[in-house]
Amino acid sequence: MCSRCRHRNLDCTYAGTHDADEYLSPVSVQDQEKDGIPAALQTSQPPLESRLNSVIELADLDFDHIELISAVDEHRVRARWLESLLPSTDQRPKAFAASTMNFISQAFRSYPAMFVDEDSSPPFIHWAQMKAMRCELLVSCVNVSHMWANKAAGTGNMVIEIIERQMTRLFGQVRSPDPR
Amino acid sequence: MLAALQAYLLYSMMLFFEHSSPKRLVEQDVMIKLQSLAGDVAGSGTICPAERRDTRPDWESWIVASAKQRTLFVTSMFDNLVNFALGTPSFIATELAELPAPSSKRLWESSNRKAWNMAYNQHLSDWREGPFLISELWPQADMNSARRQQRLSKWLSGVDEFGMMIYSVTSHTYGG
Repeated sequence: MCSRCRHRNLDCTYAGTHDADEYLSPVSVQDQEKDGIPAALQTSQPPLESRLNSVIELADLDFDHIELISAVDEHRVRARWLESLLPSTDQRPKAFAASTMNFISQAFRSYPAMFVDEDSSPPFIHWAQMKAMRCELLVSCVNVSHMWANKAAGTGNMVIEIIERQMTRLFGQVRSPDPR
Repeated sequence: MLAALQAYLLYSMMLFFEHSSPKRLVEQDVMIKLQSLAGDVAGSGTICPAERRDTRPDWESWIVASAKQRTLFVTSMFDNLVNFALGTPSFIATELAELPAPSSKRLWESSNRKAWNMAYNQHLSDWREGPFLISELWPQADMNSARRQQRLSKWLSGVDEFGMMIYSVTSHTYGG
């Protein structure tokens, strides 16, 4: 039991315990790639104390029993790309102004950079996804986003290559017969 | 599945902004795959059953549902952005019409179950007539009615920066 939990009379044995072990493991200083990203471009680990605090706060979140129902026609979502080429007769056009598109563009451009701070993420990703679920796909995305937001001049082609490799890998993983 | 869509969406954005030449914008293949992943997310449920009954869902289901809804909105708007850059038309995503508009800042940012339960109870009390839907931001016959204005004002009073961004875009595009 850690001193923090002992002080607060809390039980240390919750789902996130393996995270604490991970944080306490020695840090490798070898120059190795992870997820195809050079070690020098990977996100550094936040301080141990702040990460342990997160584990403690998330002890009672359980995402194993999610109950949802459909409110969206998934087939129309899948066919959305086709509508711009062969619009259905019942479609209602959106007449966007260039200034509105510039506004959206500026907002979206800021999203990958929002991962730079440990406690922030783009506004369509809930904080619990990052802190409690710790999904591998998002962790990889954080690393690539960090690299993209901080890329040096002249490294654009390398960055594009890494992003495209990640996308191919992600889609292949999701579409494989046994997605992990 | 949700994380896959979110990550793919962010990668697509990075590619979009990395390509300086309009001719090298995001490939059609990327958009097809993006929307295929969005279809997976939509097909596995987008709202909590309790929301249909005007009762409080469990926090975890609500978190996943809300993140899915926001991600589907951004995916649709990103499609609009790519279409605009390519000079192809965009259309109102009527397939998303039944989704609630982005939730309040208080609900989205609640950091523990007790705070979220309290916020949701207040939400139920505030929205006895039913939740504010994304389609209420689209052009409609009663756009200037007192009821619509009252619901819009109530929703805007609680939104976070994401909700305000959505409102800014719809207001600039459709008025209201």
